[in-house]
Amino acid sequence: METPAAGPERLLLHELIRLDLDTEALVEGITDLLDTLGRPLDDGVDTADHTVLRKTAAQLETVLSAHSAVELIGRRGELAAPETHHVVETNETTDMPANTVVKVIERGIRYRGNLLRPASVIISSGKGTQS
Amino acid sequence: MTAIGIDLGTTNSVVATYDPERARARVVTIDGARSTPSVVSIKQQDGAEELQVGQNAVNWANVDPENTILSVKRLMGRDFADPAVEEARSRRSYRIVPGPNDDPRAHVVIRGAVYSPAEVSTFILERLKKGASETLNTDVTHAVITVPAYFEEAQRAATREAGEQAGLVVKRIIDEPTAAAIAFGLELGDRDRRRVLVYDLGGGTFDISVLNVTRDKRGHLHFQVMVFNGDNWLGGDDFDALIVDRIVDWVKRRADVDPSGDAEFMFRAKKAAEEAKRFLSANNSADIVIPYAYKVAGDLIDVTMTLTRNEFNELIEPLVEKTISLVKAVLDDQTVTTTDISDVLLVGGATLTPKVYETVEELFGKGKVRRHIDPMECVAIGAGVLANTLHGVECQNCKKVNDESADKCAECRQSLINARSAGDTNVHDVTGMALGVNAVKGSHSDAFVPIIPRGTPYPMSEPMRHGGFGVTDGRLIRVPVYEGDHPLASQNREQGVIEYELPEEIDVHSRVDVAFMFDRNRELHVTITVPGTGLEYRKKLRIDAPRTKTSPDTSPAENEDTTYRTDLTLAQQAIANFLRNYGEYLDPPQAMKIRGDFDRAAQVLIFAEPEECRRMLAILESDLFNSGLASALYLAERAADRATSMADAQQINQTVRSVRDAFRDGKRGVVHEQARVLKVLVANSLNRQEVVEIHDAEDYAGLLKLLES
Repeated sequence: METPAAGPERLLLHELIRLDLDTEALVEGITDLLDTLGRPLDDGVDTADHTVLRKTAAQLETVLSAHSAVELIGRRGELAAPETHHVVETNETTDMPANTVVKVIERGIRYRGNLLRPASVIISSGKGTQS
Repeated sequence: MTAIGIDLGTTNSVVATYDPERARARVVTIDGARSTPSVVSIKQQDGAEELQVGQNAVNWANVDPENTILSVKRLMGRDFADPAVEEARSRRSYRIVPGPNDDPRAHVVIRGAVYSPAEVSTFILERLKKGASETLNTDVTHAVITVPAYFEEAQRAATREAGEQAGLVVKRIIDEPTAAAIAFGLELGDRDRRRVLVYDLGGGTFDISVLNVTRDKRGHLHFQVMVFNGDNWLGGDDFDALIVDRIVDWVKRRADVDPSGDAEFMFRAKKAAEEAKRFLSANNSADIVIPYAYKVAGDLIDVTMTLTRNEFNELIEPLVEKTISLVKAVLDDQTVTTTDISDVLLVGGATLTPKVYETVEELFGKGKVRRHIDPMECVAIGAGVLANTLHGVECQNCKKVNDESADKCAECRQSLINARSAGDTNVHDVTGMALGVNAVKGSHSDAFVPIIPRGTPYPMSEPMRHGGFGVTDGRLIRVPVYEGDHPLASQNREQGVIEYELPEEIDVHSRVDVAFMFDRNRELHVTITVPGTGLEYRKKLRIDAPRTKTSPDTSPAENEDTTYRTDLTLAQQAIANFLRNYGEYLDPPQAMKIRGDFDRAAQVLIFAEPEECRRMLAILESDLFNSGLASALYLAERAADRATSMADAQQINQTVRSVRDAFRDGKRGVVHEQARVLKVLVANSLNRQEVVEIHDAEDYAGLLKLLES
């Protein structure tokens, strides 16, 4: 049903869209890698390359955060919101206030103001505080 | 006016628009996404409540599953007692309840407040309208909304109401397969005829429809959905789940632990499964690698496994075969073969899986299978095309084109209820099922008398009339309106009831005529007339309005409760006989379900809650009457017992024997053929069961009786 119009504007538009998609995929891929590297650090698991891991993760985070169009979402201790955080599980035992991020499973990404993906997190139910 | 097409899906909704001048359709992104989850919740924080719709509601679903409404489309216009609602209740975390004030329709509860499914859909449509207005940078005012072909009038009315409540002028409610056919742009010559099968395998549902598409001599395209079938709980998500199971098994084997209870692991496994499924669409094998996937004894283990396309195909083969069995059943039901199907349209994201489209191509031939339009967006695109090619409605009197929201012509003030759409789409709808009334035929008080036959084009230019009714209960006339094709009204779906009391000056023995007219909005205008007296009572049936009880019985509630309990006890006995005598003709899952229902009925009888008894009774009745070959034989043997003609009884019994013999000998084709003959014989026999007069008029509680067949 789509009938592409011919002409240089159309080609330029296609090129810009392609570049955008490439950048989004690049940012998402690097963020995935960052999440992967951060996992053993977050879980306090001993690995031989702990220092290397930490340094690589820090470098990736710096590179991504320095990009003016990229914003990483999801930090332990921040308040989760439906607009930016996808809650994978609620934790009832922690004594943190309700809806506080206990663990980031996957960072969220905002690229050029658009949410590419929400941060996937485990949050506190707040029941631990009440008890 | 800005118009959009909306595919209001069970899992996700998609919006599209169309530019007729450039012949270009496009999906309208909402919040940057091409689809919006059909999910609604109300978040509560610091005493304030906040409505969440779409991805935001999905993001918060695990925090508050009891107040997050998913797949509300499965409940639209359905009664609480409907088996489909029962199934939804067992699978969903939120509460599903009957409506307030004796409204039998299913409603949902969010934070203690009761909402109709139409109200929940309104929230979704409001979000889509607002999002589309932002993206298009203009106020969206009009829409064409799609619904599944199996949606009945009540469900269509509920969808229309939801659209109107969302502030949209609903130009048309159309069938999803019709929208898909429009998007695929089937080329038809003059008076050409196509028989199109739409295979729609979405994330969580599977629908098959067979459409007749014809072009008349004036160039108008007519779409008629001939038959539909499907599985409400089968879809591409099941494919993902099978890969996730494979990943879990891999961890179990490698580390001797079961990670399936760990939400964090399952999140990663699901994501990896979705990626692997996509990768396998274009490659012969996919590496599933999840680094640091699961913590075992202070160490993190990695998942590093490979899934080949052949292994994936083997995994999903039973599910794909299930869809093919349903396709074959649809074809058998219509007495057509694959060669009679001219085109097969693949709709729904799961049809992108090679195993799926290759199996469909194998069945029908590669040349017939069309998959050149994005299967996840084609329904919205078809609706978008229609939304932007329909330009108001044309007054039949003065030919002025009025806006779809107008009731009367701005020029000549004529009513526009039967005005046809203006525009160059040339798409005309026809009714998918007959609409008629429940009337007394002979001594049989459950006869279905069709008034608008299946396949009637609409809007209708004039009403269709059925004459020759008489009253059975003094001056009270009670006309329950049903939709369906079964000769027994109770086997069709009740759409509403009209009640009217004849004025004193009219003789109670007068003939009464009933006329139906179906307008462009698929709303039903019912007229009751007494010929020769000038009496004419008109009423527009508000199909989705809360319905009256099926019996106008005014006896105390206690008696009613006792009746339900007695009826349920009898139904339970009938089910026991049914399982004993016809169990061999049931599919194993069907038999298991019925046994489960039987056990639950026993529990319900212990507690004897009247509402539960009523609900359970409906389920058992559905088991008795809707269980394929077993039900056909059950009904046939009862029809033979009560046949008024010996010839009828002999013919039915003979055919029953043929069916049983063919079944025993494994002759599937003969079984299907004879079962069809049996259905016709049973219907004819029931139609002939007449008595000379009505003996006890009060028993019929105001139903009209058919004076002549």
